[in-house]
Amino acid sequence: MKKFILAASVLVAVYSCKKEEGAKKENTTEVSSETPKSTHKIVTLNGGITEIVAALGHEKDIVGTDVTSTYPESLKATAKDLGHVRSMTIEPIMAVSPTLILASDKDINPELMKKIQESKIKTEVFKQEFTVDGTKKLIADVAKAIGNTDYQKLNDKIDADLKQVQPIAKKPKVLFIYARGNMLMVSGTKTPMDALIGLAGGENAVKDFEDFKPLTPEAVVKANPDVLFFFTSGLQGAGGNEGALKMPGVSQTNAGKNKKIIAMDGGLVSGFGPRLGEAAVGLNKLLIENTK
Amino acid sequence: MIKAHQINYKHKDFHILDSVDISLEYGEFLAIVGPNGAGKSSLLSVLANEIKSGKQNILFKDKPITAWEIQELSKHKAKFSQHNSNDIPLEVKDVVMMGRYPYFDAQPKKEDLEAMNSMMYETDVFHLKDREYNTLSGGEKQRVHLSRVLAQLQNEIAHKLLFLDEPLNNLDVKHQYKALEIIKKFTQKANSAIVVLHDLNLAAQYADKILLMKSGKVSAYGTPQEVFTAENISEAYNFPCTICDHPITSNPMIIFG
Amino acid sequence: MKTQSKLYFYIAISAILLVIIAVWSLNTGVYDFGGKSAFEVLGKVIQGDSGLSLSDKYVVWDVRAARIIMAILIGSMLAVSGTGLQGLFKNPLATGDLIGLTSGATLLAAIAIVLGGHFKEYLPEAVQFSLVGISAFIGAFLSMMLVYRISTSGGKTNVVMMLLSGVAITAIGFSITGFLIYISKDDQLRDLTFWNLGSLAAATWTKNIILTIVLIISYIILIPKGKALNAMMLGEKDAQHLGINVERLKKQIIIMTALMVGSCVAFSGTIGFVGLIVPYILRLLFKSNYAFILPLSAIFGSILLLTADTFSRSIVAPSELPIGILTALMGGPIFIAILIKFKKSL
Repeated sequence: MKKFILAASVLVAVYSCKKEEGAKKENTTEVSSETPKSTHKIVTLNGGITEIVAALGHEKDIVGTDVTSTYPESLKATAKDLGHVRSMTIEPIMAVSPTLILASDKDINPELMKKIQESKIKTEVFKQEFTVDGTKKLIADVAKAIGNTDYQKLNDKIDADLKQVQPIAKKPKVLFIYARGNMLMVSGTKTPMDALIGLAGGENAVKDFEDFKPLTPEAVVKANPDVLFFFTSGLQGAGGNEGALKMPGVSQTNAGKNKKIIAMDGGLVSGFGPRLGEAAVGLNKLLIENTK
Repeated sequence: MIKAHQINYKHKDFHILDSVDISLEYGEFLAIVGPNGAGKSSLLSVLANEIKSGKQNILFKDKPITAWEIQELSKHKAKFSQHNSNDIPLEVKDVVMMGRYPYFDAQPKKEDLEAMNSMMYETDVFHLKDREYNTLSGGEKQRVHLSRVLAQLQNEIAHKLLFLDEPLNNLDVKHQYKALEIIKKFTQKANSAIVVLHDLNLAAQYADKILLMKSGKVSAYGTPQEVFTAENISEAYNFPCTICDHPITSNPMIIFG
Repeated sequence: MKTQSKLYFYIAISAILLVIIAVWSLNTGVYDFGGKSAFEVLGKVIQGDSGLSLSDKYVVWDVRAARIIMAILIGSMLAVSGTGLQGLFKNPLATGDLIGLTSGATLLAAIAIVLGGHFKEYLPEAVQFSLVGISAFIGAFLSMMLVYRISTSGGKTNVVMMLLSGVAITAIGFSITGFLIYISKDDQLRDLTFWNLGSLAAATWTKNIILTIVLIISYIILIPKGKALNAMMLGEKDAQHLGINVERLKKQIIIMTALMVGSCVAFSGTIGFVGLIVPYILRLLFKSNYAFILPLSAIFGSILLLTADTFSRSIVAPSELPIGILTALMGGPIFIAILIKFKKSL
């Protein structure tokens, strides 16, 4: 009896799934007959790369991005969010029928990489260096990959923006804190935030380790930053300025005592794409304000 | 049929069995009796090849018991254990059918079903065959295992051996006698049985030979008349007793106290 | 009296159920085959139709079909290993994950990955897989020996000891693996964390072939042992009297379950509870008759894991729900149900 019910419910599930499939198919065929065909269908799996492709004028060619590709915002309407490269699988990528996949060598799931290579879709993986030259090279490489040679103006913009960075006499010590839920990590050296802080005229309060490590009150006190630096979303999630001041060790630092807390958009800070100059200038202004 | 010489079984320095000699012919019903801790169950285990007790050679049908192939051996001998598992999540008939495992691979044959059913009748558990084993009383479970062990030896082989370790525990009087009748019938067909019993009177009534044990040693061996003397018994049990003749069967009757 | 023919009957309808689910799973996914059903495309792949687009072929064959087959193989082996262990330990809670086999396998495989990361470029893929697989098997085997020694004596299992040694092994595995993750470099770190999650997304036909070989070897030895496991319920001594070679049986179960658990962990990471759920459900239908539940768990394990995996990639499409969550969702309540029953019998 139990088996009969089990079998029957499976059959019902199968039938209803088939119906759903049918409905979905109808939707997708309708949509594709309305949008005009373009020469490239690009999937970009990195925020910075997405920005480069968009800045080069190919935003309409992007059919899928990863979850960190938040800029330009108009992409939300035209490109599908495929999730985080750590947990993404191949089928959603293939479902948007890309002709070109652009990815960064950082963070991507090696199994996903294998599957992308097996799919025989043209794929370019770029090394991402968090320096000005590295960014310029990335722009040049991405441009080459999509067959566009008109990238110089992007590099020029970066240089122009960077010229607006004002040096700060006494370099403030900046501590970047990644706050997500209950998890608090601080940035050591060799991260995009570390590089950006340098470009903006500050110095990383942490110099004795690389990459991200969990926040410890001792480390925070030892670093004694003048300014605390967050992603806007992270700071909000942690309870705003008040929440930040309550974080372990902060009250003993210059930043904590003087209540110097700044935040910037995550995509802008970690993208290291065409808006690099903008990001540096933005951070520079915030630092100047907070070190008067 | 089964011969064992100078069996020694030690646990650390303690002799559980000390120089025990035993020999059994076809058609014999041997009862092993004695006080607690005398080593009766251990002797049975050694003879049944459960415990490997060192160098002794137990000869079963003139072949060392260790030389027998396990599956073949299981058609010649079966053992009823004193402590049976309390938790077998199966139906009664499945438990009894296990006794026929030496005879079929995947599908029980007609003779297996027949053996199972007839032995369930014999021990009066046939009406329980579709019940879940775990819901039975202690005595009923006992009878289920008895029928399993009996079913195991339902075959055409001559001269089989049945080991039974306290098979009458938890059984009511009627079933106790029934069980003994079954074992007696078994031995009357040129098979043998070695039974550990607590009730000396039942042993006296049914057994052909008695092995009286105390502290791991053989205290007395012989027919019930020979073994069951007041001196032998009170010495072994350290308890006074009197012997008289059973009014009906003229077997020895032991009265303690 | 349940006979062999009844068993064949149940095997037949379960197999049909499995096929139905496989077809459903094949047709599930975000990729659009342009009006055709995935099933039709599969047919074309098998016929060698050259007009098929590469992408279509790739998604149907290398992505969906490979994954479905892997779910079937791993689900089956996880269920059978659970049933076999429960026969060995005579307890319904004995499963690869609860007694620490998967943690032991994960630990040694993690070590292999970190060490192997140094030699990655010099070794062909098949050898890499084998190294991880073999390490996982050794890990499962060593854990098995440890648990067995600690928790059984004289053929009787102390359930509490069995589960606690599982907890201990899991703790050791967790700490050492965590440490390896902490000290490892970027590449190795990525390999470790992803593989630890438990997922069938990385299915390939090479892995499936290896898994099939392991499955065939193990099943030839284990599946006929249903009768023997029944006899073990009487106790090891009585099972021996029935003509069952108990020592050999124990060795076979230990080695084969370690082999199966190790291979599954090596290729899909830790997927828990399958070995708990499947035997439990089968016992509700067939009681503890291993002659039935052992072969049937081979099919039902596939059904369970394939169904769970298909849900995991359709419920939150295009994202995927980690399959361990779904199996734990089912397994948790069942664990509690077993505990309640156990308490009643105390």
